Amino acid sequence: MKNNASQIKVLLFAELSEKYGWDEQYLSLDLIEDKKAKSILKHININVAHQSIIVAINKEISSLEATVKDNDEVAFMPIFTGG
Amino acid sequence: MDKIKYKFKIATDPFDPYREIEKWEINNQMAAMSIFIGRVREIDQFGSQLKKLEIHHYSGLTEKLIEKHLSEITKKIESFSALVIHRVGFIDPLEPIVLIAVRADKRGIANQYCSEILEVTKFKVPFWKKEWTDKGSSWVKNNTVLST
Repeated sequence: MKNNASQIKVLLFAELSEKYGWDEQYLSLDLIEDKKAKSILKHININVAHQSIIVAINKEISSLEATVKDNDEVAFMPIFTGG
Repeated sequence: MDKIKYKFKIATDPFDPYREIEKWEINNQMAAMSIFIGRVREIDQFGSQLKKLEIHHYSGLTEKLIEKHLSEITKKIESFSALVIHRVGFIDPLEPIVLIAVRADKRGIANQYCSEILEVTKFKVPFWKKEWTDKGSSWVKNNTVLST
């Protein structure tokens, strides 16, 4: 779906992506009343403990309390296990 | 002063860490060097024989976080140079996953930052491991802690 000014891009990674069956979707920010990352998570029905989620907004590590703007890229990630 | 103080690379194919160090060393003249080479274990987190390790990452954020960390070190340490390579995709047991090579003018600095960069790649950068065995696959839930 084409991105436009009223949308945000939501990404899921690794186990989250596998569990919920998608890795990328566009969402209208109008659907998220308080524009917070934690409300996006709720809207897309991701039910995981908040302490086990890492959030990035526009490729910057952020938090579930952060406010999202139009055209932002919001990523929800499991705890990192690399290296 | 070195023009390029660090190099970070995501490797989608197998790499030879010793060859990479050899190529990198051409432009590095500092006295001390510490190297860490991490290889895929043969056993998964539950004790089964591992067939493959699969590594995912968040392209763009991975590079940004590692390079930010390396850049911060170069601001603190004049005599410092680092090479970091991390594999992604499917990897066989015993193949290299990560190479960290740090050159400095003192062994303490080389050792310290080699270890620090490794811990950053393990805990602060978006890499995820999935283990494949004859029984199927499972995501690694927790990272290994630093121990002797």
